[in-house]
Amino acid sequence: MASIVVVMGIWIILIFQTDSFVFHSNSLDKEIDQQVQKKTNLVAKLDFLNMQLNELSAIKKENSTLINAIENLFGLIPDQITLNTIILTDNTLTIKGITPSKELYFFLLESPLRAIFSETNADFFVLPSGWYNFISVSKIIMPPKGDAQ
Amino acid sequence: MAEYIVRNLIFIVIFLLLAFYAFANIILPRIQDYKVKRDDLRHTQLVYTKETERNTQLNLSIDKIQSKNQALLELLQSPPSIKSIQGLAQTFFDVTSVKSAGEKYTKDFSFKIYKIEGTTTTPQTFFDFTKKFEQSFPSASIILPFSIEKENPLDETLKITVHIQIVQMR
Repeated sequence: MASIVVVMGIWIILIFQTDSFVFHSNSLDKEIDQQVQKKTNLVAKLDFLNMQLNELSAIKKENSTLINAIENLFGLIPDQITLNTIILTDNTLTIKGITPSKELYFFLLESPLRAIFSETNADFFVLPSGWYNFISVSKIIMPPKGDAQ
Repeated sequence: MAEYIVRNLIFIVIFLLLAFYAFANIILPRIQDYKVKRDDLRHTQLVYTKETERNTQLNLSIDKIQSKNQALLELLQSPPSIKSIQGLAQTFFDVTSVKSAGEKYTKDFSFKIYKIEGTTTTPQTFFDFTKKFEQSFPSASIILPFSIEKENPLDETLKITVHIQIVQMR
């Protein structure tokens, strides 16, 4: 009789403990679902933050690139050439100025422009002083999309 | 006496058989079930701890990024006005005109473009302005087209035309 009581007691304890495990496990499953949802929201928030920071970083880089390009452009102009106009668009650079001679322009200005732009052309107009007014148009020609190169 | 002994032996055998039966078919499966449920709970607790820890780390990362870049991120929500940019430009060259030059949109951002015209006597003032502009307005950029022109060859006055783009969250 005592043995039966002991066995029954062990059996009941095991049932209660097992049910407790199941109960806690189910509660934790719900908590885990909430944490997974929270993780999804946090990842979205982090992606959003990074997207904003990437945009700001791109702005900073573009600013630096453009300002450096304009500074370098002015650095290209030799002292002997006087500039009256510089117009820079997305793919064209127009320079107007005065040069003592065409050769000086070709050697000191057109050569570096050819190194940067896809094509460059200049027209000259002789002045009474013997110097030349020039208009230089340089273009960057983007290759068409789908080009193998 | 012999009968007593035999009867007790029979009871002992029956008892042992019953005990074996109880252990094998009642207690043992229950113990197995107990172990399975206990391991399941441990595993679930581990998963919960990992998920909670991961979310804590994510939260920390987000807080760190936000606090480190708070000023920059606020600029995207409340961008600088063109008036403030005009004010800065005015300290470097004489601003003659500020006009809206359009807007662009992407899924997340809007871009307002302005055209600033002014005059100066040396291009260096424009470069000085650009350096200060970069530092002062990180959410704005100088974009093309850009021009510096000497309208009158007999005059040292240069006309500057520069386009400014201000970005904002949509």
